[in-house]
Amino acid sequence: MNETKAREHFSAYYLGELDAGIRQAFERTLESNSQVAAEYRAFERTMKEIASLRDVRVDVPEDLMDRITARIDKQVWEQRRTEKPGLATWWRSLALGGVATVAVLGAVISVRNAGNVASSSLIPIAGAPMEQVYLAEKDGGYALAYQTSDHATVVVRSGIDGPEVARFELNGQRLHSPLKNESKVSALLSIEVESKEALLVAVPGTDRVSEPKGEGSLVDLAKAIAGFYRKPVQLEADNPDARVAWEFVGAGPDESKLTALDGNHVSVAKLSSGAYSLQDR
Amino acid sequence: MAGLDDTVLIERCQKGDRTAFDELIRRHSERAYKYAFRLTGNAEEASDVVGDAFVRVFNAMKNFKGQSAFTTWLYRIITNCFLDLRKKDRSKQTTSLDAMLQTPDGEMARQIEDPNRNPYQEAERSSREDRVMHAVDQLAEYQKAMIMMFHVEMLSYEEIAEALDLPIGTVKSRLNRARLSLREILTRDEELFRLG
Repeated sequence: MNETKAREHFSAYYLGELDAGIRQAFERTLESNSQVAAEYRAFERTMKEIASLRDVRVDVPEDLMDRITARIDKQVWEQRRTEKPGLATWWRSLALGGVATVAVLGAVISVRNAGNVASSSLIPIAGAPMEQVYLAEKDGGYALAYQTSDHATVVVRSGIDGPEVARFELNGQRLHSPLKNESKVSALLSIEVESKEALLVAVPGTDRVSEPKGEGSLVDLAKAIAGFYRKPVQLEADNPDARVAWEFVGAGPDESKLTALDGNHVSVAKLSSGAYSLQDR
Repeated sequence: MAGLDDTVLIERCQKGDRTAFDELIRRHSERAYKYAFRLTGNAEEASDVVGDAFVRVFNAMKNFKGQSAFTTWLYRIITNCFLDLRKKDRSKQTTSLDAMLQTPDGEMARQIEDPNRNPYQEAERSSREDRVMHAVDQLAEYQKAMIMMFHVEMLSYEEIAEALDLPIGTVKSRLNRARLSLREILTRDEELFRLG
């Protein structure tokens, strides 16, 4: 065994991790090569000295926990402050304004109670699954729909981890809430049912995106598709932060060129409702 | 809350429960700080690194799928925050060594500390721990992180591999190289002591 090879085995020999054959060859080198033997003795001393690092006392500041939580609070506050207000305000006004808001916006939301409405209105839309949030197409627009036979809390957040913008408590009711984004740019909504993420959807803003090429995360791509093709996009991704490049060509994103930059799969499909589904699965 | 497993706390955090996240901070911040202090060697920087790390954890919590233990993930993030801090430091260090220092009494020549201290100064490093810490400080940053993880934090090869996103074989060979470098630094220091 030459000196360079022997040095590569210093740690493994010291820690008893060498296979028998290599260990014997290493020991023969130690016996026959005084230079390697001297270096190994110095290495043994070093290993013992490194262990003394554990004895170095570190005093933890008493207010460490307060400093960390203050930093997180500041970050959360700044994030909320910079949120695009259009969509959030609209949802919040829906959640808080009740009947008056509905009148102003023109029946943008309906949470129907099983006991108060005609039974025909409770029949699920054909093909629509129960206990599942989905996008329903109606009169050229799109609505967030959910039907449950039991109690369920549906929460809408702005962005994946963003603030809550609407909350609906359902008791055997049907949620049918038109999606409307009054801000200029596309927005991502996260819809949770019983605190579990049920749907991520990018909703186009009032301005059309004209730039056909771009690069960013899957969330960015979902927003770009929504803005360019003027349709909501369901995002079904294990990693919404995965990087992707795109170039929109043809009539829809399903005809466009999408390239996953970190080796994962990315695809887009047109749903029967006319909305799109973007997936990394 | 205190009796709950990390996994349960993480699930609650992912549902937006801030008190669960505060419990995770309470549980892990001390260990995180000690590791950060050993990397930076400075209380203020260690606080910054740990603060940054927990903010990153908070932001990424939703995407944490539990492939590794929370502590391993935390080590990874702290190490990245430390490396980012040093990168930022390096980009700031652009002052010319020839530049004159402006003082209220006029200009004076900038005095730069000689990293090769003389044997008398070195002799002041009386404790063995200080000497080893000084030697570790001279390692490359990622080597320093590995040495601390293995020898002080007592992480396994598997945990270090997960934390640094490296194959186990690479972790072992890089650790060996780091120890060989330490041996050279410590041997050189010993010779300086003898000269003194």
